[in-house]
Amino acid sequence: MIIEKKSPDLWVFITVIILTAIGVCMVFSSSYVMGYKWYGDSYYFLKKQLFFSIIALIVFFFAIFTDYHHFKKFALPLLILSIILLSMLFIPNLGRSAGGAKRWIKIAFLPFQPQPSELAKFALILYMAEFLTRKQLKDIKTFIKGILPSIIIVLVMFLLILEEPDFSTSLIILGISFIMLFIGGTRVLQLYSLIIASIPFGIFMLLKEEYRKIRLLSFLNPWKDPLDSGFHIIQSLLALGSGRILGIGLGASKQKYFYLPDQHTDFIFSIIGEEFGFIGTLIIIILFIILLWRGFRIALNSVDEFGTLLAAGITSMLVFQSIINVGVVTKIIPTTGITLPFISFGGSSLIMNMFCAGILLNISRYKIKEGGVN
Amino acid sequence: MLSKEKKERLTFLFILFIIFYFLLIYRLYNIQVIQSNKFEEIAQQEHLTSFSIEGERGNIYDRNLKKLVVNVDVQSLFAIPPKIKNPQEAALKISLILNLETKEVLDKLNQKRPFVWIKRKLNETEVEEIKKLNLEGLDFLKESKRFYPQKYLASNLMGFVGIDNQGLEGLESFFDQELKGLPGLVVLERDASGGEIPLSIKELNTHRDGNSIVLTIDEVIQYITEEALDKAFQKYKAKAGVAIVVEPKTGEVLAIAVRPSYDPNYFNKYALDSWKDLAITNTYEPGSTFKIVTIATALEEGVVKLDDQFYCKGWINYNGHIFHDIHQHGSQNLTDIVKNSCNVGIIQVGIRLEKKVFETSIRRFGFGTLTEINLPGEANGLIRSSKDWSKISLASISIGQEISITPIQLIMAVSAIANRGTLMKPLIVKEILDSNQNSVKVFKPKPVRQVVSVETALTMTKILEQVVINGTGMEAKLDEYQVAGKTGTGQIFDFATGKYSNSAYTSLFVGYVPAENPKISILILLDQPKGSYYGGTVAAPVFKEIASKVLPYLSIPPNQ
Repeated sequence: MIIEKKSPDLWVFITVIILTAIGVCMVFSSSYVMGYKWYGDSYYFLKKQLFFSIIALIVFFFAIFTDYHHFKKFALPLLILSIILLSMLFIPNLGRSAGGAKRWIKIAFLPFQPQPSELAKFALILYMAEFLTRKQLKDIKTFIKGILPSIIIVLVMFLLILEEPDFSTSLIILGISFIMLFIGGTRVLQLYSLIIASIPFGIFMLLKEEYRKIRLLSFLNPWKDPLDSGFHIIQSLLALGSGRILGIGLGASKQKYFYLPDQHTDFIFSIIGEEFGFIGTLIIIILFIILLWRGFRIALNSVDEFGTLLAAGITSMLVFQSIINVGVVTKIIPTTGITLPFISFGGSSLIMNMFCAGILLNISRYKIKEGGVN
Repeated sequence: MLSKEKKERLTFLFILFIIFYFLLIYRLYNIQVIQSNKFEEIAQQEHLTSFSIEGERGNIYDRNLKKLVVNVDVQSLFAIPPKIKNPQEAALKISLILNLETKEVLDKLNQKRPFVWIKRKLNETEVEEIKKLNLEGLDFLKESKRFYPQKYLASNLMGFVGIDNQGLEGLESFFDQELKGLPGLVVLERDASGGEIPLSIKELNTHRDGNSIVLTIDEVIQYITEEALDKAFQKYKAKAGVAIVVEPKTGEVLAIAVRPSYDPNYFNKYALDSWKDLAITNTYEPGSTFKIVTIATALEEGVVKLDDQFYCKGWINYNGHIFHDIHQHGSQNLTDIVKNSCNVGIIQVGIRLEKKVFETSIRRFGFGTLTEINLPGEANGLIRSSKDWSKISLASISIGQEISITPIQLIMAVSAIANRGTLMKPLIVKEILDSNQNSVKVFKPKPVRQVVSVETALTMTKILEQVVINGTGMEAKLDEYQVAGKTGTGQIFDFATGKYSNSAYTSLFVGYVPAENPKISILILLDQPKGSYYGGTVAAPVFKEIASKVLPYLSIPPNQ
């Protein structure tokens, strides 16, 4: 098998850059009122996002030019590191909370607080890609040797993130691991039984916390209590609806004047919809579809199974998050805090997403030479 | 190579994701295109059930941090129409107390909205009476109302605010962005049954108070200035009056008084014209006060010397036009022609200048351009380009005709002479403070340019001292301080006849004191005084009155 190197996939490269640029613009447009109000500086969030973008770009290029096989040996260490970091959140004074959840780690010399769950998502994909390709095919089809180790690790991560509490990220973790197992070749029957077995557990978790129950109920009828739990989702729909086809123009959003909470993070898509209308939201969706199409093409054309699983895992994670984010703001899915990849404000997620996209591009650089000996 | 199974699974996942995306696109199409009318309508309705509450507006202080305006808490009455049991009866009672049209109130009470203002910013008795009614569905919200305790004092400078505390005139308007706080969003809570009746109100986002501004104005000097100006304004039944006091070294405006004036607490009871800050917004012909500029330019250019002799026979023919003088002044030196305000003499000096040079100098004194004082509606004044000057313009302009200036330009130009030739930018605001009294911005004195040399400025001062010692400005003379100044009687161009009016004049006096080390410069302008109209008779005494009170107040030691 002769492997030749080519230039990275241009579609993915351009799409990622466009999405990040849109992100910087929309973070500014959606946050300048809030930035002024809380920090006395309209550019507060813009400055931060620009800073994150620069780091993310460096990381992006680093990943594009680093042979992805090198990451194999970091699979287990990274997994352990993310579990340690996630556990650290529960040490008092170390976890920084926002909105009632401890999701960030305070590190004295860093200008921002990293969010360990962003690292955990990638570590899990990397570990499972490595684990599932290390195993013999027949092992994967067995329960004990094939999927039990993964299930244990996933469960530990899931519970740690759930306890932050970050229900949505823990769901993403579950989703990613199912997808990885599925592509990795696990028997469909086993996956079904896993899903069925986890349903009662899921319901218990959902109802355990009062706020989740309220969110779920308010999803079913948001207009019932429009001021508290239903507030987010109604405001989001109103923002999107007010945008109509063409939008009301960049910076003109009314909903961002404190009607819409988290307008620069979880609900930034609603502001895009209000300011750029259906055309704007359609363009964003199309960009993500391009990412999905090229990402899976890269997975299919990868020179080895590790590359396939890594590419498919990364693409699925980005795509899955975008679907959930848009699903939430359009009230298809109950409200849950998930950011829109590349666009929402936030350092950890932008840097990790760009890193992952860089790896995806690196995978695209390797190709089996046509007519080569197989 | 990938197994067939894995390829199939990847394809399956791909199709699944694509289906999700198309679902999202359909959903977005549904929200943003099909149902957009509905959502937009609700969004608009929401703006009715939520409203913003302004943060407290910042204060305006004088230079010694004395409050020139206060915010008073007042109550505003609103109704929750669905809760009103008997709208007719309620409307009748409310309208009687608040002196409103019953029908107007009834219309409001019959609205299908959960919130409607009945009347904003009620007085105390109104609040008491409404409370006594004890009607369900009526409630009060605390709002803040601007109150100007000094009423007329500096009102043309201060301006005022509208019902939503938005700055409408003067400083209130110019510094609106600083003064106004950031609004907090108030929403009406609905009850749990999903009904339309709001239970209570709550503030979702807390508001932020506005910044305060510290003026260069001194309340005491402002009071002295207003009082003196008002006296002359009444005595001469003038159409308007302006008095400005400036610190020449810094350009800081210490007082700026304007007549006619108004009480900003009841601004809408006064004519629109009385709101204007004439010192900034209006232009006048400077008349003889402009001779300061002519002579200073001539000295600076070296076209004239102090001992040059000029002969005045009562008139002068320049390029076929006869310029008259009031007296036959005979033989005079340079100081004499300024002292006597002799048109014939000044014209003889003025015509020695090149047109272009004279125009440039006038502009360098700051005429024809905005001083960029931080006040709204500043006028440019009019200085025509020397290319467009007629054959007599050079003579006319040298005695202060054919041009128009604002009072603030004139006082700044004369202050430049007082300030050894350096023109300063006029300052009205010293500092901006945040709501915790921390400094946000400081406005430092800003030199614009050196207009004439120190030597020229000092020579001008010597000449202007003579004007007051035994010239046209004798009425401005002070016993204990040496004054330098110049009188002026501006003509008023009558647009109806296309000629200068024979009966309407502007009386001016502008000067500074103590002449050797000027602490204040003062401009007095009375527009169309009745009876007497010479600047030396009408305006100079006002200068004297202000200076004689302000100098001791500032503890300026008298001449030895």
